[in-house]
Amino acid sequence: MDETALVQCARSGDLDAFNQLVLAYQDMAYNLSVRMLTDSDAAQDVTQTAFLSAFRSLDSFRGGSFRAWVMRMVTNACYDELRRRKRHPTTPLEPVDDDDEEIESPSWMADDAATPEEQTERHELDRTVQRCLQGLDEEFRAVVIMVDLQGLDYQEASAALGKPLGTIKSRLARARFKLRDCLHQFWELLPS
Amino acid sequence: MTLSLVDYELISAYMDGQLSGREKNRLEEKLKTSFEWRMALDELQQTRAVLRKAPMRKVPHSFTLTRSMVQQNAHRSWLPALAAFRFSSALAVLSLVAVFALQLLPSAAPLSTPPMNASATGAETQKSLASPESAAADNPSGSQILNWSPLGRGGGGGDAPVQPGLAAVEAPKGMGGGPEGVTPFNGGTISLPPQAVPSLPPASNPQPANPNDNSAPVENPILGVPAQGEGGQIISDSSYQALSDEFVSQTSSFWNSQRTAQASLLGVFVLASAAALVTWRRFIR
Repeated sequence: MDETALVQCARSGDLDAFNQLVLAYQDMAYNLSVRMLTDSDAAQDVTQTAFLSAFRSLDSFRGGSFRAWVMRMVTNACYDELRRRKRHPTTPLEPVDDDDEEIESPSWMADDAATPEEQTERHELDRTVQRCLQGLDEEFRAVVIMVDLQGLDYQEASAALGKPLGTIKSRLARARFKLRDCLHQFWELLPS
Repeated sequence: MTLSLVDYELISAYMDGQLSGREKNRLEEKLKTSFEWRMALDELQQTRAVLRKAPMRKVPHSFTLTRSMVQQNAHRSWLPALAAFRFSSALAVLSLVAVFALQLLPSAAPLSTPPMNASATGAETQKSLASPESAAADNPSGSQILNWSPLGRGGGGGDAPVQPGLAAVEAPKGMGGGPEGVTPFNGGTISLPPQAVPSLPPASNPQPANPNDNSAPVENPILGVPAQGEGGQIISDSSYQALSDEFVSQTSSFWNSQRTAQASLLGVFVLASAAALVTWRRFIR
């Protein structure tokens, strides 16, 4: 069944059809949440909440990119969580490192084919990217995550964030400009 | 030459193929001639490449929805509307009860009687000025009565003409009142502050007014007895008017505060009822 048919069935209350869509987009949705929020547990809650909201508000989907529409739900849920954090700051129960990131085993990144050196390198890259993203304002962070990390085009990003195309171009350029110096150390690791 | 943020925006859009044909040609000309522009393009391309290399995280579990999750979420959405409905309806009931409670409050007795007293007193004033016979009946012994208030006939009132030869003494506004400091007449002794005593002309010798005497007007008429030909006139009602005005203002202010409170509570009732109706409709939907 193609995406349009699944969306139609889901709008009429077919939960199984909606779950097919969830399986197709949950990786993207979760990665957007975790990149926005850093905290894995909060990202899981936000992703689940976003999919529940999406199911309840399927009537508001007017066509176009369903992926962008789902990303919009997730982004709004992330913004709500970030605002809630500002109102009620919390202290993490898990130990944190010097970058205020929780120390956890990188099981989420388990890749049996990668050597230990490759795994360490990937882990270091992930931590650095995450640290650099946290240095951006929320609106700039969301744009660069969608376009550069998740591969959405400008129109999809514009639909997902509810901003004009010119705003997306401007925010993306400024985010890349700011990340330029932060990620400079990893340029030499790239294949020539 | 240092590139501006606008220049970086052009380069960034160029990287993603988002420039028009004309803009793209112009930028490529710049890239051919300027090392700085090429450096900037190279830096942004490497940054984008690093970001694209960042690993995707595996989802810790499936985020598919279950029936219970959907129903629980639907139930949870009722609760705010139900709470709002309860609050609005309780507020509406309480405000309505308060309106009726205010309505049942007893009105303040002293403030509710003055209009009658004022009119009764006014009638008494008119009666006392109505005829010399009534004044004489009130004072059958014909004892001498000093005129304490030369500014008005019968005392009180500042509108009456000043008696010639007498010092002006301002009488307080009141019914038949005299200068301040006058203690009520007790049949024998009246004490006044020295400065309040009007100076009488040396030749004047107050005499009881003879109601039947139609000769020249008496200089110092007996208190409460009108001069010949002036019976029945309201000589000065300013004191009555002042008292009446004072009562009206006090009474109106008292009623306004109660009415205002009732009107406010009625407004709260209307708003709370509207809110309860809106939340009820959302709740049953």
